[in-house]
Parts: sequence; C-alpha cells; structure tokens
Amino acid sequence: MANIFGNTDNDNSAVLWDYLFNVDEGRKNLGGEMPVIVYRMLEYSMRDVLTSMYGKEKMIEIIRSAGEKTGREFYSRCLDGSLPLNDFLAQVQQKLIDLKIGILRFEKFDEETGHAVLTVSEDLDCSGFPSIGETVCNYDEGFLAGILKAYTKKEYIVVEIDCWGTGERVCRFDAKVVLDK
Amino acid sequence: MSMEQNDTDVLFEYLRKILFERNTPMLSAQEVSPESEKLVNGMNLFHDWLEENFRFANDIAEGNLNGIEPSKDNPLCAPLKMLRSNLSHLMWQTKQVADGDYSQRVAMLGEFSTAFNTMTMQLKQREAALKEHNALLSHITDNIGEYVAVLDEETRESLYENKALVDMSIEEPRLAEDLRYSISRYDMESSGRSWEISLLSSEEEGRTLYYHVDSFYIDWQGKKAIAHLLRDVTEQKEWESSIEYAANSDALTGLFNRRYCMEMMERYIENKRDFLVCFVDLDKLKYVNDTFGHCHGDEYILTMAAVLKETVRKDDIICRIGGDEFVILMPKCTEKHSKMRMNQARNRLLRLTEEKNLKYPMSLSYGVIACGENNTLSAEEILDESDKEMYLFKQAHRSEWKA
Repeated sequence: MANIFGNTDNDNSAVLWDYLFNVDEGRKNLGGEMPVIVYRMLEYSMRDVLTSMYGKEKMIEIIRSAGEKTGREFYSRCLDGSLPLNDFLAQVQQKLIDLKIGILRFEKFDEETGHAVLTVSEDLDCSGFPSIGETVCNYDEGFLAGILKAYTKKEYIVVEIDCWGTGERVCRFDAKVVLDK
Repeated sequence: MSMEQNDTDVLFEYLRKILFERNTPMLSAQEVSPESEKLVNGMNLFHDWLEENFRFANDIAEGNLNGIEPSKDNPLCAPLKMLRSNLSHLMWQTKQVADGDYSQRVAMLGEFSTAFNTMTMQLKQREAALKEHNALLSHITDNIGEYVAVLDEETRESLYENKALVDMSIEEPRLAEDLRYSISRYDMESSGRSWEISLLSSEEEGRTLYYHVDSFYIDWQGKKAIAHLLRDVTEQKEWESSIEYAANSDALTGLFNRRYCMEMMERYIENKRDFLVCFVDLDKLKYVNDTFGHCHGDEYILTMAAVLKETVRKDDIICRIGGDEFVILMPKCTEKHSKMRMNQARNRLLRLTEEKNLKYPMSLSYGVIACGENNTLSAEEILDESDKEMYLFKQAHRSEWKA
C-alpha cells in the first residue's frame, strides 16, 4: 500500500532544500557546523571522480550546474528578491558572511548592462589552495549565476577570472548578461 | 681568492643591488663557478619577482589599480593583489555612497570597515533627517498661503515650486507663466529684497493684479539659488486704492477734493515746480439752489465738472474744494493759455444754458495765480490770492451776467 502521507526515506519527490535542514535535530551532539576541510574533501573528491568518469569539461559543467541550482534555491529560500538592487547586493554580501561562504565584495555593477565584477575573499572552496595554474571555483560560478539569474530574470554567465588556484589571494568573478542565448 | 669566496662576494653584491637599487641587470651565471649557477638562477627569479613587486606596489600607491598585472606565480605580490582588490572594492563602495546607496557594508577590513560603515550609516541618517527636514519645509511652503518659487541663480531654471504655484499652473497657466517670467528677470540691485509685480488680468479685462514679492539668496541643495515668496495683494491694493480715492475725492462729482488739492499744491511748492492755480467759482449757485431746488443745483455742479474735464489738459488736476468752488492745478502752463481755456469753459456753459433752455444761466468766474521756483507763498496763501483774482473777475463780469 502506498504511503499517502509521503515524505518517507524512499520518497523521490524530495527537493534540494529538503536535504539541507533539520540538521540540529539529527546532530544533537555534533551540531550544524563542521570544518571546511570536510566540505573540501567532498568537493574535490567529487571533482576527481567526475573528471575521471566524464572528463574535465563535463565535470566543470556538472559542478557549475549544481552551483546554479543551489544559487536559485538559495535565492528563493534565503534572500528577499523584492529589495531594490543595492539593498539586494548588500543582503547577498551579508548572507555569504553569515553562512561563512566567503566575503563578497563588489568592484563594479553596471545597472544598465548588468555587468558585474565581484570578488570573494576567504572563499570556502579555494582559499589557501596551492597555485595549480587554473581556476577551481566552478561551483561558485554557478552559485552566483543562479542568484543573479533569479533576481534579474536575465540569463547570466559568471566566469572566475582570478583564483587561489591561479596564484591570487581572492577569487574574482566576471558576471555578464548573455544577450543572445 | 678561492672560488667559493669569489662566488660569495659576487652574490652578496648582487643581493645588495637587488634590494637597494632598481633596474639592476640580471647576474650572468658565467660570473660564478658552476656550483653556484643554481643559486644565481634562483636569485635572478627573486630579482624578477622583487622588481615586479615594486612596480605593482608603486602602481597601487599612485592609485593605478589597472596597471601591469604581475605574474600569477609571484608570491611576493599576493598581499598586494589582495590590497588592490580591497581598494577596487572600496572605490566601488565610495561611488555607491556618492550615488546615495547607503546599504552596502565594508566587511572584514578592520578599523577601516568600522570607520567606513559608521560614515555610511551617519550619511544615511543625515539624508533621512534632511528628507524629513525637506518634507517639513515643503509642508510649510504648501500651507503658508503664499506662492513659493526657487530658481537657479545663474540659469534661472526652476528648482522648486510649492503646491500653490503648481496648482496655479493648472488653473491659471497664463498667469503662472507671467509670474514665472517676472521672477526670472529679478535683479536685486534694481528691485531690492521686497518688490512688486503688476500684471494685467487675462480673466477680467482692465483689472490689474498685484503680487508682493520677497526674494532671498539661498543655497538650495548645493546650488546658488533665489527663493521668491509671492503674495497676491490685488485686493489689498484695490481696497487701499478705494480708501485713498474716497479720502481724496469729492463724492458728488468724483473730482479731487480740497484735501487732495492742498496736498498736491504743497508737493508742487516743495519741489519748486512751475504751475498755475486756477480758482473757479460757479456763478449764482446759491440762487439756483434757493430758487429751483438742490437737484438743479447739483445738476449745475455736475455740468460744471463735466465742462471743466472737457476743457483742461490731461495732466491738469481738477478739484472741487467747496460747494461752488473749484481749483485747477495746471503744471507748466502759461497764464494766457490758462485764461483761454477758462474762457472756453465759460462760453461752453453759456451755450449749454441756451441748448438746454434752462431757466437759470450757467457761468463761471476764475482767477489765476502763477507759481514758480521763486514762490514764497504757502498753499493757503496762493489759494487766497487766486480767490481774490477770481473775485475781481466776478466783479468785472457781474453786469454781463445780469444782462
């Protein structure tokens, strides 16, 4: 007999957000926080496995897509999209600090074209990372694009141009509106 | 000197130059023994990075945040890159604040964050206070019953108009435009702080509208401006004018009265003007009143007033100073011309007597006194003298009248 109440362990209808909460009840002793290293172990092992299975390009696409999905969800659950632009940007900045994701700083935001240049210091994904000659914050690219797309209702593409992985000390992202999708 | 000693000296000197001199040429590996070649290569790389670091630091120090990018793997530049990022962010923040965005915060930059965020917060509070202040000011200007207009001092472009003036623009656009035109041509030197605008009404033909204006030089949202407070004083002016008219005019004829006559004479005397005083008397008004009644007497007086108006010049002032007595003040007029005019009036009255077939003859007697720069008589004395002249005229023409 089918469970008419739904929401069981086997319920395939659970969406991303359903997996993220109720942590305090589940981790009464250990709590809701953990070292960044654990997050990174998950992320970079995932990158390795995905690269070996599908190639680097596909791995980046998958990670970026995951970031974008989270960004959209984060927008709808944690951010007030009714705020005017400047207030919204300030809100995003504060949320990323509150959740210890990183210190978001804007260097440019052209209201007419939507073009933005922003940095994330002490980024969760790569701060302290060795210089390997390439950017690694593809998840952040997707995450920021997801937020910007959801807020502006425009198609955004976000590219990381500086990263700890390329020898920088902050991650810098270039966000542009895609005119012809 | 041993080979090791030579290498040490060369490398030490190279290190000194790298640290204290700019644009030092790279050290060639040939200047040291093969054993020290690796060290030379390392020092050359260090030299390259250090030069890059100096150049990058100088660019930042000079405010050039878009200078030549140091190589990605130069670890010496890493803190400077962070500094540049922070400065870029602060530049954006400053621009945002300048554009009125007080919602951004500078995070995690130590005391600078505190100082900047405090400044932004205070600016936000001040702007809010200023908006409140402006709202209060708008409320006051909208309710003071006056029209308020603020114009740019230089361009005379409108910076603010209160509700009363905005409403006028809708209800009486032509009048509002005329007022705007008048205030746009304001000049304090010639008009002073308080001045007046008079305009012909487009609604009521012949009516003149008066506006009292107080003008102030002010600072309006950072611009040099002139604030004009306009008050419609048309009714006040009209009332004053009617009071003044009543005080200075004769109720029956509408001519000026004795009070006005004396005031004008005194003013002429004080200003040493050339003028004639023509004293005119209606002949036999008492007889007409007693015999035919006061209605006829009043008719006689009104006829006299009308004839005098027709006869004298536009600038002459006709006053009725008593029952049958009139005075005409004639600036810049010769005695001959004056007498000619009076004779014309007298003849006109006589003709009207015949035309109207009146039972009493209408006529006048007059006496003229000239006053000029050397006059020493008072207004009363001049009047007496002209009265005497009139009497002489009357005596001389008595027989004519009886006939």
